[in-house]
Amino acid sequence: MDHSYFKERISGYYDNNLPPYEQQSVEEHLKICEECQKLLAQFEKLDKLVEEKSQLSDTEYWEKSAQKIENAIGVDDSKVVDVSHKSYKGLFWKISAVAASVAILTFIGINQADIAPEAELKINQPPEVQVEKQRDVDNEKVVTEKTKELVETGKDTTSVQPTDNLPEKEKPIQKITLDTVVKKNEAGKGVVEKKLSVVAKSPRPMAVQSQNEEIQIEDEPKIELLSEQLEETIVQPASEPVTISKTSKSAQQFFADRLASTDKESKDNLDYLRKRKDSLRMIYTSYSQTVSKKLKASRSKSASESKIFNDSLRALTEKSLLDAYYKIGLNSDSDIEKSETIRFFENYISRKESFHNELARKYLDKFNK
Amino acid sequence: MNRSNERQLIEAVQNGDKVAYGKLIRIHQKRLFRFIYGLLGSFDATEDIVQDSFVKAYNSIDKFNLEFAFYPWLATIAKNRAFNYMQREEKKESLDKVSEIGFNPIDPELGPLEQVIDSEGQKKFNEALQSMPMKYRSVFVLRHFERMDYAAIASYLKIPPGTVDSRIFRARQFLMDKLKDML
Repeated sequence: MDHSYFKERISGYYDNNLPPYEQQSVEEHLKICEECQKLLAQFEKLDKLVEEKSQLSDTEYWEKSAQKIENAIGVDDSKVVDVSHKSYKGLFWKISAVAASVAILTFIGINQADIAPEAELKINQPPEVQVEKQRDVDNEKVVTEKTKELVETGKDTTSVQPTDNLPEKEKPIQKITLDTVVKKNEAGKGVVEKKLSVVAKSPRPMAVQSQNEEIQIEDEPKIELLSEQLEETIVQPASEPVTISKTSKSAQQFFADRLASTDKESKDNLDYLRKRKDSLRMIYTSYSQTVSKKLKASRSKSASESKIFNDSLRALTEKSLLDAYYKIGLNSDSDIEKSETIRFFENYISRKESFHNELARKYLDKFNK
Repeated sequence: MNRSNERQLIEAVQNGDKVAYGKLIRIHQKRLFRFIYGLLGSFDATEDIVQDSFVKAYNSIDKFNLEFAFYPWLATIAKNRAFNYMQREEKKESLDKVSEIGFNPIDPELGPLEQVIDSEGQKKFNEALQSMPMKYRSVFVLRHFERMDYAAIASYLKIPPGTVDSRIFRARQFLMDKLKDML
């Protein structure tokens, strides 16, 4: 083969792209041909030169270019608001509205004394009108109202406390809040009270009529009613017997009924308790058989946290189940149910995992008696 | 950047993370620019095509197969646009014709180019490269800039592998002649 044949293949040889037999023959030729050796060396130099000189400089251009592409795909859509397309069609109306507002305010300012001499006072110094109410607990019905001061002293009258010289009927009301509290009056009797605070947002006059035990709102203002405060406060039973005042006899009856209901259940309630007992029993059984075993087997932190959570649920379930069994056993005429109750209590007490062994024991003792 | 990191970025983009795509842009834009500039020799055209290709790739990112590398896919988009551009510039003559006659646009303003090609050696090299006929330059750019093997170049340009071999040889001879004082 002549020299030109090999010369044309030096490039392919350099790129290791020749078939094996050609690769070998070029290699053999290179050993004896200086010109081809120089050519191969030139290719190597060119390769380095290309690599070096074709590199593009690190300049600000690349960051700007990247940002341009990012803008095209909307990377900053959420941050940048393009207002260029907005027209100024509404500008006339905006200017008109501002001008009109200024004119009205100026007019009011000039004629302030003639228009509403007291309105300013109402805005600057809104009187605090607070009305407290007592509620019939059974019927959830407002029956009386008292001012805060009078409730504290236990007097059964109604009044409104002004904080400035305005007539009573022109006091603006800003909001109404209603709180339920139990207090002792002078006679030492417990009184269930609902505190109603009425304060208006609007400077418009509103009349609060506090005639005896009713409240009427005339000329309805914008009233902000804090509904969450309408919820009854949960009152824990006092250690000493609480006597309900004469103004809430039905409340007294309510508590009496509640106390009586702990031991005596109507037939309907008994049926309900049986269903409740069955449901709780299923949950209790599933907890006892599966969940606790799995949790005992696991030692991980999350399993430990789950165990605490599940134990809380188990404790609640067991307490409810014990209550249900106790009430059923106590009120049922069936001997089977009574014996079932005793069996359940005995089994429950014997279990080490039970949360309320003491309670079960008390129930069992009481039941046996 | 390794493949798994790139894959995470692409997955993020596919899930709507545009900031992740910004990272991909910054990783690949210089290489893509060098490739397209090597083919076209026009700074403005290259800038437009690179930016347009990134946007096109972003809009089609849902179709991208995560099993493959991102750059070759992006480069193919850009290369097709570059060839389309050349065809338009050559009055819609066929790509083969463009390839045969060469494509040597005259850049009226070299200002922007100086932003990325600042040294005299770089300018001289690029001038030599741009003076090379297109049929040699295209294979040379693919071989040296994109590190493609002969079979891939043949497939890419739809020419026989033997032709790739001979064209690369001619391109090297051409450049060695133009840049002999630098070698």
